[in-house]
Amino acid sequence: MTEHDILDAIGDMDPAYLEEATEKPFVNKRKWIRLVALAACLLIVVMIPLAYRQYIWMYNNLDYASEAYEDCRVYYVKDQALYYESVGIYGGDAEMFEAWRDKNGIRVNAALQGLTVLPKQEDSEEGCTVRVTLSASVKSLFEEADGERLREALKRTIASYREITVDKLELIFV
Amino acid sequence: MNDTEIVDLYWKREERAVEETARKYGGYCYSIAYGILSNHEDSEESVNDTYIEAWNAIPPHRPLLLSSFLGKITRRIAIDKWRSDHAQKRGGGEIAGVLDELKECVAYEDSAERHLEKQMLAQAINDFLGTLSAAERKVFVCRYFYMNSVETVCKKFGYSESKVKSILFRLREKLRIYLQKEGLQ
Repeated sequence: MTEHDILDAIGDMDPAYLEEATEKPFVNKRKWIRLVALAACLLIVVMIPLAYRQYIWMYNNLDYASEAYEDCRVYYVKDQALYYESVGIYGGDAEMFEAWRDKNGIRVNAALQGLTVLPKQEDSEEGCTVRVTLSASVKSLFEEADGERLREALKRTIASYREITVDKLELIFV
Repeated sequence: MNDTEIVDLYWKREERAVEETARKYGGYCYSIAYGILSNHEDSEESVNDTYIEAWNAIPPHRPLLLSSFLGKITRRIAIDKWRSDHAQKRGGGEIAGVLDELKECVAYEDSAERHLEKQMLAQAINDFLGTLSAAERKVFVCRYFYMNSVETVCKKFGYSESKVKSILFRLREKLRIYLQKEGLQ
């Protein structure tokens, strides 16, 4: 028997085997499934750290949000006396000033232009000096009968919000 | 047109049978012939010879799977053509003709035994293929019946070249042992 005989004999094989060999191979489909599964696994591997990072970022931002919130005593003048009301302040000094303005019934359109806490002398037991710049439109209010009380209300409100002891409040109108 | 209708045309001796065969299986037969001969003209000639042989064989044959029937004819014709070309290249001149003439004398003496041996070998190979997994069988058939290159087999089944070579090596070894057991080697 020679290799030619085997070659010829292979030519007489069952036609069903020839049909089987010409069918679309299933292996390729399985290969695609494997590739898709691998891609999905890679995606998960990549997404988990990203999702974790996103979670940490959100968690930290929530922390910032809660840190931005300050429970502030907003002082106001009523019947020639000082009262206060606790208000949640989220938006910084400007919102604190607006809360003080509204609580004191000031209708004039006034805004806080600037607020500076002047540095304290070392070893000084005295409180801080705060310099506040306001719109000129409210200057006249501080010159009226309740002007001193209004000034005191503002001073205490700033002290409460900034959590400092304020000895002196300098008002500048621009 | 399905295979039964084409075979019916052959049985009615309508020439349209060949046209329909060429339309449906021309490419399939050409790919088999080209896999063996690697030559466009020789492959075309083998395919045309296939149609003639199919025309002569049907009737009396009524093949159930026309594609396999045609594929086998094409393969045999192409292999014979390849052998003929190579014999001419080796010997040339009159030797090929002389060998052909002498072959008749030798073949007459043991043709029945040789024919039986070939039949047994074909049966043994069929039985051997039945013992293989479908994947192994497909690789074997693509390589040794359709004579696809290793690269083509790799592409077809999505295997690496080393894997296909390894499968083929193991299959040849298995076949050798199987034929030995059957007393055919």
